[in-house]
Amino acid sequence: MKSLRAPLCLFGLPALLAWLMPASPEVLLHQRSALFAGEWWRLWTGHWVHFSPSHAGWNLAVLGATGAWLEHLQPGWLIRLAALGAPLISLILLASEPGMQAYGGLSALATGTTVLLALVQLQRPGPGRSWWWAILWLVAAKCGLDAMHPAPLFAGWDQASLRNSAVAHAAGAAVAATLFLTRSLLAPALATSPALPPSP
Amino acid sequence: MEKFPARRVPASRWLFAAVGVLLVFGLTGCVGPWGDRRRHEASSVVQFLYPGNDLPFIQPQVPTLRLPLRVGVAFLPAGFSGPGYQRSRTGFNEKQKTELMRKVAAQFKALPFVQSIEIIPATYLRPGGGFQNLDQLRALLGIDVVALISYDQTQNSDSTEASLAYWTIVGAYVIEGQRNSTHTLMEAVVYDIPSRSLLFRAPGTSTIKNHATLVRNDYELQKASLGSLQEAAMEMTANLAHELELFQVRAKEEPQTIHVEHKPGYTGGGNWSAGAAGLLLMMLAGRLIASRR
Repeated sequence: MKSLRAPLCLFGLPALLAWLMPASPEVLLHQRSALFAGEWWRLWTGHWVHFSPSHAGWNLAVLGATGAWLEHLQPGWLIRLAALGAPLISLILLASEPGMQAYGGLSALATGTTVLLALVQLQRPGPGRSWWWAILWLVAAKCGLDAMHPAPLFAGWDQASLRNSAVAHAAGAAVAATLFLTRSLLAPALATSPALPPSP
Repeated sequence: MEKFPARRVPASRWLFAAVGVLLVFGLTGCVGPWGDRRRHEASSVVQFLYPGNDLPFIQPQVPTLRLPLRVGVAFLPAGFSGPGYQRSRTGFNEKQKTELMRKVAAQFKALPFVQSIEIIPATYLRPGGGFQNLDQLRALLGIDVVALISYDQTQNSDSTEASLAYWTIVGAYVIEGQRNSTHTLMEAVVYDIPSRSLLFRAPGTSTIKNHATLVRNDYELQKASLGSLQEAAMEMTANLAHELELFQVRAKEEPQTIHVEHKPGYTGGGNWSAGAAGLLLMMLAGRLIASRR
């Protein structure tokens, strides 16, 4: 339960507040024009804005499970991922999707957390490595499917011009992998840590 | 031989005879054409889109829908046929057509991928205007997809055995000797203008049968005509909702038949769908349970 506190405080409660705030899309959403106008906080806050309860629900379910596990194994990594990963993902979206006027949703960070957890688990000794490889393959397959079929276009989305962003998921995975490879950014102590405990 | 002097017929008798003949022919003239009548009124999609037989057939392409869509709704101009019925009897005026178009527009408005609906006035369409006319509408109103509403109505009026009573004159007022039938087909066809391809269609039909007196026959035919159009329109809008649902399913399940793109300015949403999230959570739960054994 202690491990659940971090994802809840970092993602669950802010997403709920953003959902309850009627003006949150205008103030918090990742909007291309607003970002270019200097509203840089949107690089972070856009991830917490959702467009429907199911949109928020599934993203938070993934983040809750993977975030709690990651926090249990590597305390402090989750907050670092949120602090560094959120703006990096936003910058990648700004550069690679010029047609996308706005972006919202925690799924890129959820993808990043999943990839980071899988990489941490794969680095640890012990059985069960195939499970984590399978999870990495699942993430890759999801990114590929999102790119080929930009669903859900017609179900569960209440805005006309909304589409699922495959680039966001790929960016989340890439940012997580980069942060893992440069682990000193996430946890300086880890770089000097002699051995990790066995994988659960 | 005795010659009889020629008798002069009084002028008054000639007058009576003439009035008598006039009455006989006049009465038969009055009740003569009560017999069979047939009237046909239609606005045809084929005649509108392909007006000339010599025109080459336009090969439709695989439609590319650029979301969100801007949709136009229009009533095709009607043509009439049948003796003596060249003007519209239906009384289906522009106001009623606009009301029907609003109902059709409401079906589209409910869709998340539709940005706007334009109700196109009748004056914007030329009879036989074809895709050229639709291209003009596209440029003028900025629409991508158009729903064209057409109808085909046939009315028959036959006299039954009871029509013999019309000879009594009073019978023409009280005996319902006319047997009428009104058949209407109304259809909404939805075209993607750039690709010239039919996306889907939704029909509605109605049949009204009634009897009428000779004197009220025109009125009853007009009433049945309008009633039948309204019935067909109701069925068509119900079918349209169903066809729209099927179209959404087809767009998702058969992406090779309909290409979907997004216009610049769309909003991206990062979303772990129920299926992917559920699978991931099950895998995590499985790993957790396996590690605790």
